[in-house]
Amino acid sequence: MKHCSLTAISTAALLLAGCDLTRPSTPLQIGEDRVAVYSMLRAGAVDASVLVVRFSRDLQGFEEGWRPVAGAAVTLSTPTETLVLRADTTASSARCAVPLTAGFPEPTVRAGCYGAPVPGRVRAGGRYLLTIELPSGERVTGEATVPEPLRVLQPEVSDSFPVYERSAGNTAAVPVRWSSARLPARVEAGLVADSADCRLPLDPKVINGNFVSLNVAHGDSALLAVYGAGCSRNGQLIKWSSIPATLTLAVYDSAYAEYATTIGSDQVEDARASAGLRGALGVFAGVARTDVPIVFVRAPAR
Amino acid sequence: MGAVRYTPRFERRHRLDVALTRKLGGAGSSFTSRVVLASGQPYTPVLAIIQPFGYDPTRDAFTTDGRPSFVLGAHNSARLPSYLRIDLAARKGFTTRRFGRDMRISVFGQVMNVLNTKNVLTAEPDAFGGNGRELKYLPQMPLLPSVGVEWTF
Repeated sequence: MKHCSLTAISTAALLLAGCDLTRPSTPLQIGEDRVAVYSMLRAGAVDASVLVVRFSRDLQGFEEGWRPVAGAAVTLSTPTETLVLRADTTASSARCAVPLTAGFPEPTVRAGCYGAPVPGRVRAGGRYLLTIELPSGERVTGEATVPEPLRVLQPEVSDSFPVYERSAGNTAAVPVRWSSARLPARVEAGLVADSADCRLPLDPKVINGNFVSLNVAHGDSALLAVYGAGCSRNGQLIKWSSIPATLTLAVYDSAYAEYATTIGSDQVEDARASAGLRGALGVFAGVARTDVPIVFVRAPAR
Repeated sequence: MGAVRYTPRFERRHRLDVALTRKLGGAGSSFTSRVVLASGQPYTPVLAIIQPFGYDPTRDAFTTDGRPSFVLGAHNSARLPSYLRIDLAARKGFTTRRFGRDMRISVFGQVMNVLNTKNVLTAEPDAFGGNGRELKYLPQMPLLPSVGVEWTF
């Protein structure tokens, strides 16, 4: 006995006829606004600052979805003293400045920015406690330990590196080595030309044109690739023979190391959207920077 | 230690599945209906939308590129809409003799999800939907009519 079957499915015809076969999207229901706090204590800094914002539940696409929170009571404590951080409405509140979109002019966020001088500077190895009482009655607490700075073994101050002038591509390589008393949680390297007219962008695959995250899991060295070195003013290329620059190695505490893994992701679990804090999203962390001035010298054309 | 408890993705708390078949006159002729009603499966809800700020060590400042990020709640803690599907099928069979052989031929037609209920497989948040922030649904089987013929010889 043989058995044959022929079946015709006509869903395609229904689709062609314009039938709606799927459930339409529904508006995303967000429960409430969320408070976020951003503060980075830098070893050796003369002051400390805290940015307090509230993300609106009505955020739409690229619309600015946050607003500063004014009127908060902010204190920063060490085992021996307590500092009151006051609302910083001056243009000097540089660390609360936030570019809305990378590469665009940076408006200074004043309301929501709290700061104070730190007597004796922020101490490497110091443990700091943050307490914020919001006008709405919410309470935010945080704790951070500022790491010790890395000792940069290579490059040395004023080392020079040949660089090719090209609009794109790998134009220079800078070997970097460092040492630290303990394995750092996260290390980033930054490179900024001393002249605002010149650009020394690092590998474009990384976080930002100015700085890269280094893999610290396997040791104490990295090779930085400089892409597209060049100088221009008002859109016109400028001739140059050398570009003085500053190489920055930044080491972070474990709170920021954890938080940084979520940046750039379009989804993050609630528990991971906050590091070093209780009662708010964001991060309260410590960083130590080591700056090394170096020079890039134009290499003969290949 | 360190265990995370959450509801499995395809868990359904309630499910009613009823199938009825009525034989009609003639060999192999029948009418079948099936109704499935079930409560919704879990998905992970969105608690907030933020624009994450990152620290730029070269400027000693926090920055943001403005891209939104969804803050998700407890894993699989919300429920998708309930599930309803009704299928209908009819079959008419007859026997005949062709080319010196006995043949059994059945003509059938069926419509799966006859109400075209917009059942969903899962839901994904979308910050740039046609109407702003949306919860987009990945569909399950739509209305699916089919006809066919089956013969045995």
